[in-house]
Amino acid sequence: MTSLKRRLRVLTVCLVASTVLACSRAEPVGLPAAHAAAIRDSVRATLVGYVNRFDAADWDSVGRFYLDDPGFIWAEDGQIGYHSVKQLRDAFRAFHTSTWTRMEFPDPEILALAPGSASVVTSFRQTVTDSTGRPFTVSGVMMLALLHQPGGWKFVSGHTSTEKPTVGVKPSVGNRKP
Amino acid sequence: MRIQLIVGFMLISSAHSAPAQDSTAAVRELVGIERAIGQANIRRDKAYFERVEAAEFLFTGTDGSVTTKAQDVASLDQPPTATLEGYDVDSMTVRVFGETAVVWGRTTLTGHRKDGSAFETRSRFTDTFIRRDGRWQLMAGQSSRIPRPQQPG
Repeated sequence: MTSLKRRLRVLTVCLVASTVLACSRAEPVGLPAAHAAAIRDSVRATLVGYVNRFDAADWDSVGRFYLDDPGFIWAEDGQIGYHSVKQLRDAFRAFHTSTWTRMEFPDPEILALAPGSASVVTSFRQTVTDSTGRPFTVSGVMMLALLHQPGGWKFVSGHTSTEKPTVGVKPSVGNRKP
Repeated sequence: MRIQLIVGFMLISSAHSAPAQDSTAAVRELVGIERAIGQANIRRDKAYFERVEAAEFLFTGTDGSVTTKAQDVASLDQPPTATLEGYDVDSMTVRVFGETAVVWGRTTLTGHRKDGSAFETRSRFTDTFIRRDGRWQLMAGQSSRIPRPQQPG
């Protein structure tokens, strides 16, 4: 192999490696990779458990996924949807017993922030079917903050934005777009 | 240990484990960061976002799009479609859980579009921070538009 070919091959390998690195998930700076992976697995399992309980309409169990915290806030579409976990739990319990629900998190991106701390950014789809069999779906994007507590991972906060028809032109300026 | 305090408007902080720093100081620092983010947006200060956003940062915008730190910072290289002149943050609530903090608040953005028309948008945000290397870094944020009040009649 000529020197030129060798250099080209090295260059190609470097380019591929840098492309792979650039496209891969940014790993937490402060956590060993194994610890971060363990947090992600554990949070993923929590989300699966949450969805299972949700789909089973087991609202008492669903309510236990939220941290009992006096400052709990759940934001929905520009409003504070719930000011407390109790309010949220009451809303779950108010679901009619003949209502069938299904929750999906199709693509959760789990960020391992620190030991015992994680965040989830995901789209969601919630399908509710009433007693007449008529379904309607609410979907959008959601961000969750989670802390690991003695009872497992708990949702500390959430922010959901549901999909709605957009009216008008949206100007784009910087980080937090107007 | 749980500490709650009110600083001017509603600011709440709590620490479930040994706090990384005094909670009052943490709340003040986080409120300051949120205001600094506003000013950095007006200045289109790329260096500030490079510093305050963690490598893993994910932001969900009012249009539902999710951007990484790289995309967010690179967006400042693009010519703006509008000029941001005002960025007010209010109704902030801060909770500190050891090395993790969540900040909720509202923003009012004002400015002019390229066609000269003025805009004012109000949004509610939730930001999650982590204290890393002795400073708070923004890990994830979501913003959603505050609905305009219905006009009577």
